[in-house]
Amino acid sequence: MTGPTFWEYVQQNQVKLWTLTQQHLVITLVALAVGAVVGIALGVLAYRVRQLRGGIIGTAGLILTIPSLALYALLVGLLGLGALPVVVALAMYSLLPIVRNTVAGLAGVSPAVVEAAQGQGMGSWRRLLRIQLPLAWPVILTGVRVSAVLIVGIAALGAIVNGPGLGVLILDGLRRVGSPVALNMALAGTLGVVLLGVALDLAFLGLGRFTISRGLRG
Amino acid sequence: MADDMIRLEGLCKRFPGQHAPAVEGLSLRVPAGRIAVLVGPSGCGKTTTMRMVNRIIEPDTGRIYLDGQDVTARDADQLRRQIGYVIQQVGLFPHLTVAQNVSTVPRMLKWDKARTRRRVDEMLDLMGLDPARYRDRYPKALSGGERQRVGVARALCADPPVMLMDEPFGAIDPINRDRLQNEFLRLQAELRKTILFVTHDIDEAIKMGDRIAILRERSEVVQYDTPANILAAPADDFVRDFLGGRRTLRRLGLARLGPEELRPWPVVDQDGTPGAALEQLRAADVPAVLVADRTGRPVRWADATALERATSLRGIGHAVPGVRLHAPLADVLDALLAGQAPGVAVADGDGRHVGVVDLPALVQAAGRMHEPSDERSGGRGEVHS
Ligand SMILES: Nc1ncnc2c1ncn2[C@@H]1O[C@H](COP(=O)(O)OP(=O)(O)OP(=O)(O)O)[C@@H](O)[C@H]1O
Ligand SMILES: [Mg+2]
Repeated sequence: MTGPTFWEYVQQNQVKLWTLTQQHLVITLVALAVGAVVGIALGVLAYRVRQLRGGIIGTAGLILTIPSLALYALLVGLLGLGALPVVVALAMYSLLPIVRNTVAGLAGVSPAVVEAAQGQGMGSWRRLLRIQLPLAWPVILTGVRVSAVLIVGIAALGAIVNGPGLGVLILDGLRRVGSPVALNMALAGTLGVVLLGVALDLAFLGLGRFTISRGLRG
Repeated sequence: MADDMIRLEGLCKRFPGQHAPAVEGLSLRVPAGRIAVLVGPSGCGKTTTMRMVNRIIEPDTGRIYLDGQDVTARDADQLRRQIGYVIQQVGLFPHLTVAQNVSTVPRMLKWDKARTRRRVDEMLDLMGLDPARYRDRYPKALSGGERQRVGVARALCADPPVMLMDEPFGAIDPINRDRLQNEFLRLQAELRKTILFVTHDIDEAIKMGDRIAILRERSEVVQYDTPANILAAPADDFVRDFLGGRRTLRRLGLARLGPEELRPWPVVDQDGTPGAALEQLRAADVPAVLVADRTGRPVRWADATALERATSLRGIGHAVPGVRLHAPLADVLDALLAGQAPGVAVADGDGRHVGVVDLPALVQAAGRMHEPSDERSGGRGEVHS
């Protein structure tokens, strides 16, 4: 007797799947929000202080090369099990695209525009918030979007430290290899992550339409 | 002098990593309400000089006084809100609408919304941009000339007493540039800003400047004087080369037609007889008489040949070229050459005929330009209205 088909499995576990998807989305977005705030701040710092630029971007790149398993091992020691180490790890992984695009976006702002702002008497903070960041925003947003798709996949591995999300299914499936339901679980988890990634990608594309000035589009 | 609005004393700037300073020991005074033009070859330090006035570049040494106050150590952002700045590359904020661009400084100064909106519309109107059409556009939807005008409107919006304008009309075709220059001069006649204006076009300098500072490398002032005086007496070969040829012709554009240039001339009524007209012509010893219409305004020239052949004075001879009193002598010469007439009829401000200026009178007037004058008479108001 083979187990239920994939479709039957999904129907029977609707509620659970939906809950896990929501958890997955939330943990991704929370980590992304943290990563965006930190990443943009680091990007601004790297742009302003030339001597720090190489170091900051290099470090963000280095983080991406740490295997997530190793990163979790380190973080669990500091933060315990659960959602927290996952959020921290994902936020760290999201940094590189955001930092790099923030620097690139700011560097792409025309010096004439910045000088004009300065000449009208805008202080350096106002200039950053009102002129430079809004002008760099399309590029920064692209960085955030890349990070979103990047960490939505990595988030699946959070299950090994008892993190929430679709990774739970995949891990469960792995534990029950050989049983009829194992493949369905892994498949549902994987498919969920992929769909979530596509949805996030589209969502961020749409966000651009609302948050990028009409003067910069098209 | 007490009424110097801008006073620069011994400004020096050397950029890091360069051995020659970009500006060395520049001193300059601009009287309140006047336009001083900095003109000089590319790279001579004009933009650097401007940037030191609003301290986008901090001078290494030297002092800057605005309206008698030393501003070298004042809060730079506060200072800049009182100095309109039009940069060489325009630099409109691409993510903001025209209205938002223009209202940059008023919004920082926290003007109330209604006042800001009124002011923006007023500024756009002044620059010849219909507010209803342009207010909500983004810079990408403007032509180069429109952008420059928005840039000028932005600099003027909070009504700063001092303006720095770095090649504000550089990116515009000659015809529109001429129009914008005229509009701007008309505006300046009312606004009376103190303006430091940069260009490397000597014709623009002559046209816009109450005074011109001719600069050479490192912002060295070779000559600082009125356009007429510089044209009349260039300080050295550098200035002479920079002015180029046709200096006298250019000066004709600056000098104005005064009443002393006018000659009385016989004017005959169009209802009179050709015979009587011929007698008047001979009595006055002139090559042609003016024929007036019913209102007494001279409309045609008639010479002896035409009068001898004619039976009536109506429609006789050639049309009379006319200019107004105080027109630039260049315009008078143009009318004279184009009209193929012995003279040009001159009318006063109300359109009344006051006399004729002919070629000998014009040559005499040009001769009188040669003594350098103390200051161009009056301000822009009288000259350009
Ligand atoms: N930020 C800077 N760093 C180093 N050198 C500079 C800087 N700005 C200007 N210079 C140099 O200083 C000199 C004067 O430049 P500036 O821009 O003032 O010239 P300019 O008279 O405005 O020229 P143009 O007519 O081409 O606009 C030039 O040799 C230029 O290369
Ligand atoms: Mg320049």
